[in-house]
Amino acid sequence: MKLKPNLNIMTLKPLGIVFVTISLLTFVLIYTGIMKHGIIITIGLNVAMLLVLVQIIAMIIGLKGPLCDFYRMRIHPLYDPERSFNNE
Amino acid sequence: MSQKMIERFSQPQIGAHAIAALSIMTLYLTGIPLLFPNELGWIPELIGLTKSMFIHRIAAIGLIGSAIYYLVYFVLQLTSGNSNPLKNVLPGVHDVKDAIADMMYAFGMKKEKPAYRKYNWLEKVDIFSVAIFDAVIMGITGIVLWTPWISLSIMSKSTVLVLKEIHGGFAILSLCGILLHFYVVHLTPSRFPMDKTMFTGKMDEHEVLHEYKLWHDEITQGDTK
Repeated sequence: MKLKPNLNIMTLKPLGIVFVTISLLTFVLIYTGIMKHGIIITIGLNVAMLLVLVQIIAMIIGLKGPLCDFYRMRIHPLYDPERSFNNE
Repeated sequence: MSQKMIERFSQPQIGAHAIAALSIMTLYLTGIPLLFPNELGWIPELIGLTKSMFIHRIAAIGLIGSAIYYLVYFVLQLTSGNSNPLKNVLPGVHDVKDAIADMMYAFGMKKEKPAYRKYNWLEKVDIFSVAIFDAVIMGITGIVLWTPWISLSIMSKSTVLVLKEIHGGFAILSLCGILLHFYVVHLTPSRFPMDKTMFTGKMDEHEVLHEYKLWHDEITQGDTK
C-alpha cells in the first residue's frame, strides 16, 4: 500500500510563526542581558539562522522565474513575459 | 479570467532588492556566528573561517554596491524632473496613526484595519532599518574593521574596538528587523507561503485594493483624470 504524505503546506504556517517568535525572543533575552548562554539561546539562535537560510532559498525560488524570462527575452526577441498579464 | 495586475516595483528596484537581500542574508550567515561562537560555531567550522570571512566581504561589497546604486537611482530620478521617488517611502504622521490603528485592530479594539498608502508603516520600518542599520552604520563600521591598517592610523585602538561592538550589536538589531520582514512576506495570512511581488514587480489589483486601499484610490483616480 502506497502511503500518501499527510504534510500540507498550511501546517508549516504556525510553525513559522513559532520560529519567528522564538528567535525574536532570543534576541530580546540576549539584548536585555537576562540570558546570554544556554540551551534556550542555542535553540533560538539556530532557529534564527534557519530562518535566514529559508529566506535565501525563497529568494532563489522567487528569482528563478524573472531570470528565466530575462534569458528567454535575450534568446527570442519576440518573447513577451507580460502576455499573461493584463496591463491596461 | 485574467486578473488586472498593477506595477508596484520597477526593474531596477527588483534587481537592487535581490542583490541587497542575498548579500544581507549571506552577511548574517557568515557574521552572526562569530558573535556567538559557542552556539553557532558550527557554521564557520563547516565553511572554514577564512572562506567564511572572504564570503562575508564579498557580500558586503554587494550590499554597499546596491546601496550606492539606490542612491544614484534616487538622485537621477530627482534631477531628471520625475516625481519625487522618496514621496511614498518617507515616513509621516499618518504612519504613526496607522501603527496605532493597526495595534488597536490587532488587540480587537477596532473593527477595521487602517487603509494604507503604497507602503505601510511596517514596510517603512523595514526599509529604514535596512537603509540606516545595514547600509550606513554596518557599512561604515565594517569598512573600518576591514581596513585596520588605515583605521588604526586615523583612530585609537579603543575606538576601533568600540566600532567592532557597534558592528556586532547592530547586526543583531538588523537581524530582528529582517525576522519581522520574514513575517510580513511569508507569514501574513494573504501572502503565505511567499509573496512574489518583489520578483515580478506586479501585484494583483484585488490584493492592492485589500492591502493598500489609499494607493489603489490614487492610481484609479490618476487613470480617470
